[in-house]
Amino acid sequence: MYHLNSRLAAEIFDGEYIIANLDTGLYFNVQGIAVSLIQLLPFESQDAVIDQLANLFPENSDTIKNELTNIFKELIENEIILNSDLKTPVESSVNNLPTEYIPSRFNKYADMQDLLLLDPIHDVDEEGWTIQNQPE
Amino acid sequence: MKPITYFDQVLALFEELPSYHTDQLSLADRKINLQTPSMELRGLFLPSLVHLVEEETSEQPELTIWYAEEKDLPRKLNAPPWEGFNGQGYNASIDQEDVQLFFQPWQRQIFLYSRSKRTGIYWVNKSEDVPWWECTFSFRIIFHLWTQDLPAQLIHAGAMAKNGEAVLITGKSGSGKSTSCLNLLRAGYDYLGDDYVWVELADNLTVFTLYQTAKIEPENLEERFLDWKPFIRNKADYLQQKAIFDIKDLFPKAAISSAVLKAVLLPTVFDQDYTSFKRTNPVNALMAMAPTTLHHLPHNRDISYQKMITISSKLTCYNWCLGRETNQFITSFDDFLKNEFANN
Repeated sequence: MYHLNSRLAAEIFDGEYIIANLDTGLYFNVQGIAVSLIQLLPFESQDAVIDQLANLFPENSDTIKNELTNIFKELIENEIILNSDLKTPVESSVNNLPTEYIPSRFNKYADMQDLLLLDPIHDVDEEGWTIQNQPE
Repeated sequence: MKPITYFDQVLALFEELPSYHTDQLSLADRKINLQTPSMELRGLFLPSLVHLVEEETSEQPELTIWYAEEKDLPRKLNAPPWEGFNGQGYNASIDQEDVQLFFQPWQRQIFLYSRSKRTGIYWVNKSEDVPWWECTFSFRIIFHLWTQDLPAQLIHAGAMAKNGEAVLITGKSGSGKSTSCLNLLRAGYDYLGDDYVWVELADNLTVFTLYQTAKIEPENLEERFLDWKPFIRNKADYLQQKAIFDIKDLFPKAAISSAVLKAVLLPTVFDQDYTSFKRTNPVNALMAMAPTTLHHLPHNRDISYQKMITISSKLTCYNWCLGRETNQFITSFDDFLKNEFANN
């Protein structure tokens, strides 16, 4: 069963999905019809859901299938969507199907990743304090 | 050992002091007592907050902050006895309801806060161990921990105002945020901050001044603020650090205490002559302020994130495309404010 990673802060904000990994400083936003893909979680088959959304707009069906397949892959790779057994079944928001086709976008904000500091290996004195200071 | 036990051990060091100095501040209409036996540390930490100092009253403070270096205290202090502090000073394994710690293991300084006691503590081994940047945003992490229970949020942003109405200027480091604020300061705008400000989330968002210390990179100083050189506070060290200024030295009447927030600007430096403003959606404002703020303030991120969603959703947001032409930068900002404030 595919489901949204519950460790992430995910909000619909101004029509977009904002997904934040507050532990690592990675932020994502998802726009367009891919918002509905996330709203339809949890589901067993991504192909069935992608087909369901694509069939809503026959004139854009192929485009939608293509973009949702790519974004689904991004969501899996970034562990926004996980594939595992759910202990508690969660109802998907089937009432939130889109009424117009808006192209999807997936944005990743990784600015803070470069700033994440590792805890350097350090020697400590008998009171537990680091012996050698290191710069910021 | 539980964090509360460690906190009580540290607090006992301060409560046994025979005498100490108190400075009373008013921050966003709330009283804070800063208490220290160390005049040396007071000289380091008070300047960025001195505009908030009020005449001492017997009124009970809403927050008390103790701070000292080891030589002023009756006993030595052991380092926090827990593994797992990350580079941002946060340790998820001891994050719990009351006491929270900020500790970067390669530094000999600790920040502690107790929600139940509404008391923060800063301990440092020696005043020489205080990182220079720490004094430009004194006790920032303690203020942040305090806001968990308040309708308020510290934001990594500048704020400039006119006639009691302000814009929030936010973006990651290097976006042109501080330089834009300081250029507006020079042009006569009211100053609330250029790095960190305090936002109250009432019906109308209000921004309060927090620090009145500006930091400028040495090359930026040479290029744009050469006439400010006589006012550098850290003349001996600014080439290795950043040049530090007290706003009151530069523009004694520019600093104001609060203003109603009307808009948020997201500056980006462009290779163009003229500065322009383009309406953008609140998601971009959230993405400009949240990652950088939450990087600096690693505790209670989920609560702060929700507050920043609220702030972003209540403000009109603009991309501020910064051009080279200085005079037009100012006139375009004047025009923007006239239109923006008139329409809201």
